Amino acid sequence: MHFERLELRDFRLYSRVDVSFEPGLNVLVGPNAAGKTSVLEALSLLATGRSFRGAADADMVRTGGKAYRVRGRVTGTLSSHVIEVSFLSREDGPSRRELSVDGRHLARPGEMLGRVPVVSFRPDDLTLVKGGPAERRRFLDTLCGQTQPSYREALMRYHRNLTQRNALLSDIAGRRLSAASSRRLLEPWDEALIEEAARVQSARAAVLQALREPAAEAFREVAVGLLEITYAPDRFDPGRLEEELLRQVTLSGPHRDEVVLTVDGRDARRFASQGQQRSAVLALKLASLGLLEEKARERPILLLDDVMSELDPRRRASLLPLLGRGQAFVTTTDRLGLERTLTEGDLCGNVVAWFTVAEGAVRREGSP
Amino acid sequence: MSSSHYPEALARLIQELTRLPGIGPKTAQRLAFFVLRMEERDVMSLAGALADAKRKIGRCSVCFNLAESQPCRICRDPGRDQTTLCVVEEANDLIAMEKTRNYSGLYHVLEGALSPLEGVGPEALRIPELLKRLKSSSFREVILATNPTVEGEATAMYLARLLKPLGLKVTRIARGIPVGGDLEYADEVTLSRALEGRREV
Repeated sequence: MHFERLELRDFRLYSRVDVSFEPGLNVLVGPNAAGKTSVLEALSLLATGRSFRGAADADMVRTGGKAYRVRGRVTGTLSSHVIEVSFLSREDGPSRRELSVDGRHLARPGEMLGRVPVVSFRPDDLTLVKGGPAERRRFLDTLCGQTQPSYREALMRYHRNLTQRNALLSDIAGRRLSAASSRRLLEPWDEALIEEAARVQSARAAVLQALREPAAEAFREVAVGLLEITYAPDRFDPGRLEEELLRQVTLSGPHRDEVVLTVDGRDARRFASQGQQRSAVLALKLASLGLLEEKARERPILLLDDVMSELDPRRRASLLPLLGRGQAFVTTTDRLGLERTLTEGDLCGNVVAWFTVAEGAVRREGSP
Repeated sequence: MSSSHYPEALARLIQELTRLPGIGPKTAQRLAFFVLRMEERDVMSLAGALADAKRKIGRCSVCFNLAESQPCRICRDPGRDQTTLCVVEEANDLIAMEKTRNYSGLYHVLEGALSPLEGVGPEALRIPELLKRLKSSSFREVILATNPTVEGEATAMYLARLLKPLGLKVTRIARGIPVGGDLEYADEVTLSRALEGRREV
């Protein structure tokens, strides 16, 4: 499966881009802040329905504009689809975001999005190890959404339930209701919360279980030590009402889940070296790549945002072979450095197309 | 865009139109200009219809459906099954049920769904009236037909618990595959929820 074409309208700094890609390796070269990452972001948006930077829709609209549109053609061995994500912010009403496949509007984001397997590698990925639990949940949510189409919906319903329950907690606290009437009001929300939490947590557990071994193996290839991933689900407990009424938030549930990463039994966030942390991120990403490939029975598309120059030779060596199979997008500011790197690896004859990114345009080199 | 650019009567019309949902200043302006181009007869008819609807249509005092008389046509109809009550969120849900022509019982419109975020608790819905109705009439089954949204589900669950002690049969409408829809084309979410709600045949 590969992206054949990409069209951007008023997306980030681009007013208009129409560009065709190769099924092989596509290299985007340009100075910092030229918009290379935004191209990759647009591809991630088409594949997962979300920005890989975690950006809000309004932030992706070109300055001064009101709407953006991203459209891409994805072609696989059996079929070819046009995916479109558009967003319109309106002063006199709620903003509108629309997803469509082949011109057909999708009522649910999970319906098609997520079937284009994509894995991104970015310098910011280090927060996966160094950052708080929210970062690891976000990684997990993306992967669950990509491998299980109904996940996104369950997660959305869970969060909607949670917001309602929190609103109810502050309402109850403000009205000083009796314990019995508080419980009667909370029960329907608790019940639904438990139901949606079970869906979310069983999907998360399954995905992490599938990642464990491959990640440990990938870690061994590039670093010394044993990388272990442990899922620590936070079970929703309706019995903490007193404390919850005091703080007016729901204190347990999947929104407090944690994924613990350890190297040789010690918390990687606090005790692993910088190199081990980088290796752990790489291992997680490579393992998710394998999982996606298995689930989608398609080679995932790789998005490498400015990471080749950061890696040491050993880690680079584990990534390079991947560029020889399937489609990949690589951005860099350092053309010569990347040219040199590519000669180190065996690209298996994969076509390399070079694009220049500058002044709000993406141009294929060697074409008029 | 200041309203002082318009003659006073036009400015007022635009102002009034922006009160409608989904209508911003630009749409209001477009509609107002359209009204000015309409035949006077048609404008009077529109104004009359607006006033008439507001004046004549109220809520049925029994089921809270929209009604032109008290009680509403459905509540008055002796031909309807007096033992089954279908609980819906809004009057338009009732109309959707009626269009099926498959349901001949009575209705109860809640006038909303539970939503603490918007400050809607059980007391803001027609729940006390529902309880009173169920206790004083000969209903045997209550069908909870609130929407399959998070709020609709919570409302159904709240009602189910509330109604259980009354010794009635309480049912919830199924969610699943649209009829005429092909299993192959149903999205996974609908399909997986339909699978969970499967029944023995």
